[in-house]
This record gives sequence, C-alpha cells and structure tokens, in this order.
Amino acid sequence: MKISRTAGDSLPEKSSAKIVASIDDLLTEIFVRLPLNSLIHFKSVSKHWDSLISNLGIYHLRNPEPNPAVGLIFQCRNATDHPHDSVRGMILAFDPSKSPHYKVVCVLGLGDVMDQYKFEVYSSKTSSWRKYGEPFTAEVNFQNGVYWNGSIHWISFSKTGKSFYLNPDDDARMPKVMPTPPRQDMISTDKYYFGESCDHLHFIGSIKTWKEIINVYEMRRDYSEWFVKYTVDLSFNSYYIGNSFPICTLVRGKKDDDTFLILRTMRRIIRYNLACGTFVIIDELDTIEHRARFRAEFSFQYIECLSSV
Amino acid sequence: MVTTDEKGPLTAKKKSVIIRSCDGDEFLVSESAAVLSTSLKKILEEKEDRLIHLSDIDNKTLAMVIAYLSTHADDGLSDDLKRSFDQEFVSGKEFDVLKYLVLATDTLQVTCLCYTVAKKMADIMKNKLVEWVRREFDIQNDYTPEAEAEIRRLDAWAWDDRQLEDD
Repeated sequence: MKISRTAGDSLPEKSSAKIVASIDDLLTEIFVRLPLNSLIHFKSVSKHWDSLISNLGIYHLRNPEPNPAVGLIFQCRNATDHPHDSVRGMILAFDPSKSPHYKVVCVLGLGDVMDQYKFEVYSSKTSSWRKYGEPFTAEVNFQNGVYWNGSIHWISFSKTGKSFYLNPDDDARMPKVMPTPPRQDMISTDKYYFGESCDHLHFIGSIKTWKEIINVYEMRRDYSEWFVKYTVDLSFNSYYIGNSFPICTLVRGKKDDDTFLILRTMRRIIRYNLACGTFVIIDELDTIEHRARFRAEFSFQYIECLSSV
Repeated sequence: MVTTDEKGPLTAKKKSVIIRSCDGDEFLVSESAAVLSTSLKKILEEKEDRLIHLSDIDNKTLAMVIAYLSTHADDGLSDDLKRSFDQEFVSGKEFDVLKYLVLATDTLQVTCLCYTVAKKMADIMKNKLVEWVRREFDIQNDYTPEAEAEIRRLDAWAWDDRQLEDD
C-alpha cells in the first residue's frame, strides 16, 4: 500500500542499462538462460561480454531452465566390433548443470567368477582412476547403463537378477538396488528402450507388432516404483516395422505435450508426438547401405552446453 | 503470520514496515512480505527502525517488487497460483522496465524474482541483433572491425540464416 507521495513517477537518472551491464552476476543469470546460438552471437558485443561468456564455458552450468534436447545424433556402426577383453561397460557420468567435472564408470568382469564384476571410477577433477567398492554380483547388461539423478542405472531381466544403480560420488561406494521394470512388458531381453530425457528416467518394453498399445514407464525420483507415464497407441500400421525394435529414443519437452518418440521403421525415421498422436518423417533411409548401418539403439540426444569434455 | 522465531522482538506479532523509494514515496508493506527480500530481512533484524529508505530504487519499480513480495508472502495462495502470477508479472513488460526490475532484485536480494526477470530478458534478447544488445545495455563496441570479424569467424556455425530483430 502506498501511503504517501512526494515525487513524480520519473525513473532515476542513472542509466539502468549501464548498471546492469556492470554487474557480472546479473549478466550471468541472463546468459545462462539464453540459447547457445544467441550466447555465441553476444560474444561479439564487447570484449567484456566475450570474456564473461567464454568463462561460462569453464564453470557452466547448463541452462537452468528445463533444457530439452535440440537434436539427435545417430551412430552408424562399422562392420566390425572390437570387444574389449574384460571391460563390460564404460559410462559417462556428467551433468554440466551441476559441475564442470565428469566421471567415467568402468565395469570390469572378473574372468574366473561368473557374474562377478568390479567397478572403477575415473574423475576428470583428479585425472585418476580409483576402485569403487568390493566386487559385486550382478546379472545385468552393462552395455546399457543410463546416467540419471547423479547415478548410473542398469536393469536386469533375469528372474534372479536385480536392477541397481551406482552413484560415483557416493562415499560408501556401494551400488544400490532399485525396482526392475514390469517383466510382463518384456518379450525379449535385448529389445527395449531404457534412457533418460530432461531429467526423467524411462523404460519401454518390447513391441510385438505395430498394432499395439505400449506403456512408457518412468522411475520415481525416490526409487519407489516405475509408474506408467504415457500410454501410447502405435496402431497407425501403415509403416511396416520389421523385426527390429522400433524405438530409438524418447525425448521429453518443456511441457508434457511436447514429448515425442523417435521411431525407426523399415525405411524411415519418424518423430511421433505422444500427446496428439501425430507423426512426421524426419529421415528417409533410402539406400540399403543406409538402412543396414543405422541402428536404433545407437541414438543420442543432443543437449546444448558450453562445457567441453 | 506469526513466525516461529520468538526471540526477535520484531517478529512477535504481525507487523508492517515502511519502505521509501528514491523518489521519496513511501509504501506500507507487511513484514512477512518484506523479509522475502534477504536485504530487507537483514536490515529488520539489525535495527528497530520501521522506515527503510532505498536510495536506488524508484517508485514504479519498487511498487512492482512489493506487489511481487506481497503475493509470494500470501499463505492463502497455492504454489500454482504464485507461478501463474510470476508469468503474468513479467509478460508484456518492456525491456527497460525489466532492467530496473533486475537491478532491484539485486539490491534487495530477491533471488526467485531475479530468475524470473532474467528469464524474461533472455527470452526477449534471444532473437536480437548484437547491435540491439549494445544499444539496450549502453555498451561501446571495443572491438576493431577486424577483431569482431575474427570472433564471428571462429564461431561461424552459430551464425546461421535466422532472421534477427533490431527492435
């Protein structure tokens, strides 16, 4: 409530622009909310802005607003794979919004004991590897670890195995058990989608035919359960799917309505919006070679960030 | 609202403070709203005085900040309502007004308002030309033409065909 009035509504004479521009903390708050392209443009505003923006790259700090993926990267496999002797998985644990440093978790199989593994963690801060806890019994596919919520997650589909997660920063250095996704959604242990988007962990089980309703599960942050986040009707059957698993990735948007799946059919890559059920073809796999080299499981979400790893 | 801190003489019962802008106008604000500003909270903890003079925040800006603080101090409003208030609060505001607001959030240390205003400023700036930004922030271009061309060349990928605005 205004209780007295002694002057007009005029603004102070000092230039607000000059003052804002002189407070680096305020500029930084604005900078971290700008898209990467604009930020790069604004390096040419002045030398001071250039140094501020360039330094963001060191500390930065992904955009604190929800930061959906802006692109997709697909890996084309070469004809031959080179299996490593005893390395069963190597996963990057990195969240530039929390720290400029990253860790790499390496899973090593103990040659003489079945299903026994040990973990080693590399820290970019100390540039060194160290052992993580004691050897651990697990029945999971270590190739398929997902980083979310500060930990790496692996899921198990064997009747006796357990799904678990490992926090590389955990002082106790002990992996923890988490619920396994509903098994009735599985028809095969190598066809499923397990991934993270916009800070949500998702699981989608196998799909038998195109004419099917599928459940998209999400893990609660407290690890209490997998709940059905989306029910998707994939019964638009005009696209033959073939035998391969069709889901490349699930991308969450700023709003639930923006969430989409990237599907791979025989000849196309399709973006399927979960809320409105519409789809767009984003790529035609027009040659046999193109089709053969493209694998749904090797797709990655591209998120803008100034950190260099 | 009676705060749980019973030691402080100022928080024993619901009280108001008077805040004076640099133009001299005075605003009566509930203490529960005022303490959402870290700076005002500190001042109130340190002195008995019920009149706080802000020498660098003008009438118009102070009125907006107080409206924000009062809304956020209202226990009767749900978080959802407060969020939609925040959206409404910055929508349609001119860049000039936002500059004064963001400065006031810095002086008064109101972090959540600072983030809301910074987001709105970033939304306005994102499709603007470098020249627009220099003008709005009153910044002299201290690059030589060669140096400016060079810095653009280094990040050529970011200079795509998007239409950027100059107003």
